[in-house]
This record gives sequence, C-alpha cells and structure tokens, in this order.
Amino acid sequence: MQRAWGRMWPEIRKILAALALVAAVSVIVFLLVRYLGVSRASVAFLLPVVVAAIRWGPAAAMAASIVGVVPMVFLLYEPIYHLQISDPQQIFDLALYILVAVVVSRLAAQLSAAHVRAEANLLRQAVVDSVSHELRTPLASILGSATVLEPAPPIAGDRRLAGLVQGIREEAERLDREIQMLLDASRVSIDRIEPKRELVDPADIINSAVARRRRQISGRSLELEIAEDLPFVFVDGAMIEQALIQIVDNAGKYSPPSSRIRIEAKADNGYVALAVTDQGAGFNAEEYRRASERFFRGSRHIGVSGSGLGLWIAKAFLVANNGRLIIASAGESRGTTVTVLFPVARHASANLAAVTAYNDD
Amino acid sequence: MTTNTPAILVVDDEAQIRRFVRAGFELQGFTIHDAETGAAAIRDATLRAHDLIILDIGLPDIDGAQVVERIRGWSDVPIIILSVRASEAEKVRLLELGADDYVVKPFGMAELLARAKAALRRRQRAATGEPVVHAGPLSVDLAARTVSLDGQRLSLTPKEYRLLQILAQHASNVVTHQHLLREVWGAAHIDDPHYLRIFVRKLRKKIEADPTQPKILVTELGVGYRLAQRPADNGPEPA
Repeated sequence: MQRAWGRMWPEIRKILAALALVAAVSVIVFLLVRYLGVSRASVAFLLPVVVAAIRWGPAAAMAASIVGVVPMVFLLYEPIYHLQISDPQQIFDLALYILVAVVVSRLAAQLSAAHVRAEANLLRQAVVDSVSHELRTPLASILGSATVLEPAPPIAGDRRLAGLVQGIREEAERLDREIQMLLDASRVSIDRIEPKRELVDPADIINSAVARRRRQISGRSLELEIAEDLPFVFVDGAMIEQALIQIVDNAGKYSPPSSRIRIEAKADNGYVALAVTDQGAGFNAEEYRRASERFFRGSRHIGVSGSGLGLWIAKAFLVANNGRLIIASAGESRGTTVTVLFPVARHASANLAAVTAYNDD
Repeated sequence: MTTNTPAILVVDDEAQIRRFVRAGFELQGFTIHDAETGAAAIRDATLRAHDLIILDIGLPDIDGAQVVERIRGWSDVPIIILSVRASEAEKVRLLELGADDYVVKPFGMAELLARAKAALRRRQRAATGEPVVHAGPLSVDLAARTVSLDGQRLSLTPKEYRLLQILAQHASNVVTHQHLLREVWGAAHIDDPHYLRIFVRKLRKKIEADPTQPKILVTELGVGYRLAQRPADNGPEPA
C-alpha cells in the first residue's frame, strides 16, 4: 500500500501542479475579465492545458482541461458566478474547448515521447560507439600480437604452440566479426543506415566479400560465376559487401563442411541478381516465414553459434540501397538460395558505348 | 633510404599496439621509433629522417588529417594510415591529403608489412630510377611506356595506359577514384566515376586471366584501386 502510494506520488504531484495552474489562471481571469472580454478569457483556460501537457505529461493535461471547465462556467458564462449553463451555444463552446484541450495534450505527449526516444537513440549510439572502441582496441592488440608470434620460428616450429597461437588469432577474428555485427545491428535498430551510394561494378562487391571470408568458408568449396560485363549498380558498395558477407556466412554455417557454396551474378531483366546457393540445412515452412525476423533462429540449429541477426541486418542494408532479398529453399536439408536483386543504374548502361567511343583517342 | 635498415616512425596512442608493431618490424630488420601523440609525431618527423610513417588517425591531441597535412608541408615520406572500419570517406580524405595507403584496425602484421614494403619499394624506385614495375605476369615499363603480359607486348589505348601507369607508379598501394579521375580525365571529370568503371573493365579484359575475378587490378570498395604485386596485396586480410 505504502509502496503503491510512493510510486504514484510523482504522478499525483504533476496533476496537483496542473490544478494549481488552473487555479492561478482562474484568479487572473476573475481580475481581468472586464478588460479581456469573455471569448479571450476562455482561451486563457487553454494555457494551463498546454503547459501541463509539455511539462507534466498527458494525465496532468487531461486533469487541467477537465477541471478548467468549472471556473470557465463559473466566471464567464451567464448567469455569472453560478455553476449553470443556460445557452446551447455555451455547451458547444465547452465541447470545443475540451476537444482542443484533448488534441493539444495528445500532441504535446507525442512530441515529448519523440524527444525522449531521440535522446535515447543518441545515448544508445554513444554507448555502442564507445563499447565498440573499448572492445576493439584491446582486440587489435591481441590479434596483431598473435600475427607477430605466428610466423616466428620458435612458435612455427612447434605444432602445439603454433596451434595455440592460431587459435588466439582465429578467436580474435571471430570476436571482431561479432562486434561488427552488433554495431551493424544497432545502426539498423535506430534507423541510422546512411548509404553513400555510388556507381559500383557488382563483381567488385562479390570479389571483395569473398576475399574477406575465404578462410572461414575454406572447408566448403566455393564456386564463383560472375557474368562478364554486368551492368553497374548504384549502391553503397561497402554496405552491400557487408550484407553479402552475412549471407555467405550463413551459407557456411548451415551447410556440411565438404559441401559446395556457389555465388552467381548475372543481369536479369533490368536487375542485377547476386545469388548465394548452399547445399545445407534449407528452410521449412515455419523457418521460411520468419527468416528475416530479428533474433529468429530455427530450432533445428541449437548447436550452431549465432545471434539470429545476420539476415535481418542484410535485409535492412539491402533495402536501404534499393535492393531486395529473396530466399528460396526446396525444404529441410535441401539447400538454400539467397538472391539479392538491384536495379541497374540507368545512366550507366545507356551511355556506356558513347563514353567508350568519346573518351579514348 | 639512408641505410639498408629502413627507419619507421610508428604513431599510436595505444602502448600495446606500438609494442606489437615494433616487434613485427624489428623482427624483419627495420629500425623503429615511436610516438604517442600527433604533436610528438610532427616533432619527431622534423628531427629524424624516417623512411616511412605509420599513423593512427584517432590520436587524442591532433586530428589525423592535420598531422598528414603538416608533415606533407615539408616532407614526401610515405605515410600509412591506421583507421577503424566503416570510415571510407575518412580514408579517402586522408589519401587525398597525401597519405599513401591505409590499413584497417584490427589488422594482421602480414598485411601491414606488405603495405609498408610496397611504400618503401616505391620510394626506392623513385631514388634509383628503376623504370619497370612488375605485378604478377604483368610488367609496366614506365620509361619506354610499354606493357607486357607474360613477356607478350600488349597494345593499350592512351587512356588505358595512363590509368595503368598511375596504378603502377603506386604499385601495391591504393589509389583513390578521385586521384585517377583527375590524372586521367582531368579535374572537370572528378565526379564521373562512370568513366573509371568502364576503363577499369577494359583494362582488366587485357591484363587479367579472368576479368571477373581480378588478381592484378583489384578494387578497394568505396576508396579506389590497387595494382597487386603479390598475393598478400590482393584484397584485405580475412577478418
């Protein structure tokens, strides 16, 4: 009982403050009504509602608007100094007043909630940035030191020691990937994806992503088939690379070590299609429906490490660049094809021949 | 290069990073000096002649770009930037200010060594006047203005040659889109990446075994291109 009271007290204090404001306005109106006239004086009763909405929230604003009706009727409506309504027009006025008060308090509440949210996002961004810096700095030392030790003759000459140092390096690389994923996820969740789009050769994106991941998917044989003279696309290359890496990582994670992963890029009817196909776990109907949800992980894959963020991040990055993500699977254990589609950058293909002819002498 | 043990200045505010970079280079026979602030780096660079500067751009006292600018005021010593990921625009800005290359933190020592050696080779080539740059099966003779692949002379158009020439002059180090556009097409076309994409493609068809998976003329997404001289130069370390 005591505790409930304690919890409610701040809220009650705000309402009392709003009521005090109504009382103050009533006194002022009482003193000045002769000079203001009735219509202006009734507008004065909106003032406590607005102030309460901005400073003390929607409940206080509501209290101010309802209680405000009493002094309005008492002071302004004929017969004056009676709590009595004689004219249908007065009812209309009161209804209008309450409507305006409700709308104002709602708007003010939304405004202050948006403000709080924006501040929370800024704060979250700052925390994530600083955490990532604080984690990455020691990580850079660990990874760097391991790569100095790895080729040194006393280590490289002893298989057990070499294995340990290799383990340090690989685990540090894995941590780095996880931190990158968290950073990406936080950028997506606060809607702070700001692609720097430019004209990019789709083949460059694939080659760059594959160069970054060759070691992780090395157990699985990797096939690349990139069509010649693919049309250019207008995207943030580094962002799409990151999305593609997520997709390739998933292909590696959910397929057996000796299987094949195939990356294919071709032009397709005004689009460039990048497809990553694996021979792995595939999707059943339930998993398929929920594949790009945040934190979704199929219950079949308890033993595989992962956060369920990969596809969700990839999809957000692609959509921010006008791309689309399509998942296709023939069913459980029958492999998956994830296709990424981008519209062809228009001016590029149209002018290609002209530029080539014009610019080379 | 004054002696046969090149001297490198390592600038980073993290002691542990300076320590492993120092060890990595010393094991390869380099001489290392280090500094932990931008001010100390600038002072050190005026006092001693270094063959290379490795500069972290997140220093506590002076903005990395300012350090590069100040050093470029009197010296053309190669500068390699250490930066964090996801700052392509920042990398480009520093490269345009005169830095020679960058390595993304966290990095492996092999990658930093490869970049450092490439920058030193370039300096040596400039000092000795060696005209031929090799990149895998490709040789570019900058004096005779000829290009050959596996010993076979290639015929390139003037713009294709110009593009390859600039990349060869910076062999193994990255060259920004803006730099290439300015040097090949002129300042007026600095915002036409379009030309560059098309000519890179044409050039790859002439010099690469598989133009869709280039091993010589490699892309640094969002930054520029690099003429890779050995496999270690080919793309970033897996990370």
